[in-house]
Amino acid sequence: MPTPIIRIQNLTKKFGNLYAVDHLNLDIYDGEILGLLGPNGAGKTTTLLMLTTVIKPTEGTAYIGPYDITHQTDKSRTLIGMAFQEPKLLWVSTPWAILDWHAKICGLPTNERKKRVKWALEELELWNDRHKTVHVFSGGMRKRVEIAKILIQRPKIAIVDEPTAQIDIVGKHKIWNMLRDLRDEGSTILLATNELYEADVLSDRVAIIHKGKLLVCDEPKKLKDTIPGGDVIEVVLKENITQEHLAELKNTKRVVNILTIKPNHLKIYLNQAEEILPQITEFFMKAQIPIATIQMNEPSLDDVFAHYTGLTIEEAQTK
Amino acid sequence: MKTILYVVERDFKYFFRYKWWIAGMISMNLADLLIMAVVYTGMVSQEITQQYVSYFVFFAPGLTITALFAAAFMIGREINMEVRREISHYMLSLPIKRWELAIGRVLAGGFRGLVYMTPLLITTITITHVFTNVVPSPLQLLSIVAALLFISIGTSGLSISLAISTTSFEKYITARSVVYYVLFFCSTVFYPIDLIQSALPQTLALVAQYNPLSAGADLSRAFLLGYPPFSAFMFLDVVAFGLVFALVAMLAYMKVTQK
Amino acid sequence: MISLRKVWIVAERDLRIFLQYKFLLIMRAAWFLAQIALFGLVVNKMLTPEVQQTVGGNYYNFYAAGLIIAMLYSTSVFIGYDIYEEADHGVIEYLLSVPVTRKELVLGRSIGGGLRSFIYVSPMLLFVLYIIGVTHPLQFLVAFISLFLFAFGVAGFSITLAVSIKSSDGFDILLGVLDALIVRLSTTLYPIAYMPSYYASIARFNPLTFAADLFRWGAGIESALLTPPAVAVFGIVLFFSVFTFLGIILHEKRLEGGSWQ
Repeated sequence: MPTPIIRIQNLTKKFGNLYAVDHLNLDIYDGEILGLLGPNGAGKTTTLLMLTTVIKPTEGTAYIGPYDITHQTDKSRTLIGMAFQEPKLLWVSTPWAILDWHAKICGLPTNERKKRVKWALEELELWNDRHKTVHVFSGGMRKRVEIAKILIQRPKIAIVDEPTAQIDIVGKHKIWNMLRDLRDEGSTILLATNELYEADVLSDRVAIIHKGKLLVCDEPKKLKDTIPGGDVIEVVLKENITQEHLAELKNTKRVVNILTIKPNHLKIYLNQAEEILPQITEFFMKAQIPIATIQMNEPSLDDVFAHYTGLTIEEAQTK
Repeated sequence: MKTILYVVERDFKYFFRYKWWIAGMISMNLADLLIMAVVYTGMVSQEITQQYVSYFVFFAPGLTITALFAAAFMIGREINMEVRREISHYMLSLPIKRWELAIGRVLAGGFRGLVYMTPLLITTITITHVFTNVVPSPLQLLSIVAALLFISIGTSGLSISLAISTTSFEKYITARSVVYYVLFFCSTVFYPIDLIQSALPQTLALVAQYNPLSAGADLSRAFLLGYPPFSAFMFLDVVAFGLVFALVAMLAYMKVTQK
Repeated sequence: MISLRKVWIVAERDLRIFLQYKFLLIMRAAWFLAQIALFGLVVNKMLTPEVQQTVGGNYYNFYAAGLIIAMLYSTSVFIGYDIYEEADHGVIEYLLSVPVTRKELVLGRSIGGGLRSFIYVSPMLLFVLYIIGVTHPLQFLVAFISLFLFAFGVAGFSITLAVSIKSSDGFDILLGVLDALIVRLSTTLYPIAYMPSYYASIARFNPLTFAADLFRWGAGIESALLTPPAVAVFGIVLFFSVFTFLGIILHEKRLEGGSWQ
């Protein structure tokens, strides 16, 4: 049994009458990357801010290593480093000054500090701009300065909130690799994201959170395996489907569930899709509903999310 | 004309968003008048202020000039920021002619100064009337307002010219500080010209003599206190200042926006 | 247990940030130069011989010494703006997440706020001392140390205001008004004997009065109108203690309670 390095126990945060985080229970194990997946407003950032002792829980607590975040705030922070969702940079500061100070306050000795700051700035392609004030930086550049903080600090527990938002695809891969390296060097990583692919490729385990509550937590593959029906057929129709036809389709052999994304956009969860695909196309032809596109997919984390909430992440975000 | 008015309107509305700045400035102006000038009145030699009743009365017309100058100067800082943050790109994308934009901005800076200064001018007129019984004629009042408007437009033009001709914010602030404080303290706003001539080097005394702020302050004193005597030079000085810097600012603004 | 090393690292950050506010540094320096090279010189010629006598024979020296205190005040107070700015940019959340205790953070900021203004004003202070000339080194040392405390006290005062006022407009307005009043209602620019009694009664208890008069005493300006040095030192120590303590307590309470949100 692996050792939990973070134990979240009934962690709750209320803003007025709204539960931003609602009695959350979760163990995060030493040396893993745990993806906290959920739509915007799910309570991910609030959870992270409580773990870093930036805000206080309304109820419950969490243990960072042996330290209780409600009573041992100072000690908790000695194990943690956080890269925030919105870069926390004062406009007059330069990347060099920001990172050098961060390394200093985290206790890195001078030589090591300079070395790591230089390394991170070079790796993240900020070296040439290191003495420019950040107010002239693009969103992506600011984000890279923010993520560099934890890459330099190499904390026991690295908390990263949407680390690759606003960053181009090449940059995303680079940061993902750097986070994997960080994990391999002994850090535990708590990654909050609303990007399914990011959670899927980076996380050892994924915790899905919605409306402040934990829905499920497991390895991405195991989560996908929990979807009833091992396959997904996604159909976009040229016309909307009627309730009667939908009910009829649900009763088709081997169809386990249907998610209506839009009245003309369906996700059909089923077993042995290859065999049943001709039957599905025939059904729409008989019903005289022309098909615009049809494709067979493996289940994704979005399907896992949809399975537990009845909504896609995109829908949950807009709602 | 309508387009220019829209440009003026935009800058005018922006001015009133600087609540904190306006509150700070008003406090500073009133504190200068009601505290600093009151205390200095008891310290200043009678010989120096005898023609003005007291230092307090002497200073009051100068106060309107300081207020006007500070408020009109502010537009330059905004334009410098707009150019650096490329907000000016938006202004340039609008369906208006460059010269309309330029003149609108110069005028807006001028009007802002005039509007900010108006309550202080009323205070000054009240104070000078209470202490001297002088009642300015409508023509004299109109002359004061016209002179102040020219100073305000000139100041706005001067600050825009500085804002545009400096490449970095630091350079702008340095240039601004030098021009601002030299014009401010090398003028008859705080002290009479003969005193400046006896205390400062000749070059600075000359600056004070031809400084439009001196001309504006002395013109107001001439009509509100009866001393120094009014001379046409006072009016010509402020008109020239207003026109020259409005033109310089317009040309500079058009040049920079056409790059 | 407070780590002095961490307090220093926090203070050092504020020192570095201050150097980035080049516009402020330039403007303040230009203001000082204009005051000392233009306004001070002319006003010195305006005053009656009695005034000159009562301020120790030379109003210009009296005025120059006062200007240093006005500068020290206006630059020390700037730390409050920094705290507000950081709240606006979310930097406060970052500062709360780094491995320093809240006490170290707040103490570091108060020291940083005071120290940076002292360092900034130092060249001007030396210039003014050159003009006046120090005749009693020991006296000057007492005044110098007190000015340190004064700068920290002003930083604490500014932090106290920054954390007590929720609206940033309100904070800006209050500081603007205070800035206008606090210097003018003190003896930084003129001796207390020439102030109307209603102003003098406020000026007598103004920490800027204590600092300005103590600095003049330290620099050897001999005037019977100055606040007695013992009273001025007491006033500054009291001001420093109250506002450093209040600043730390209130700031820590705010941060820990999450009401900075």
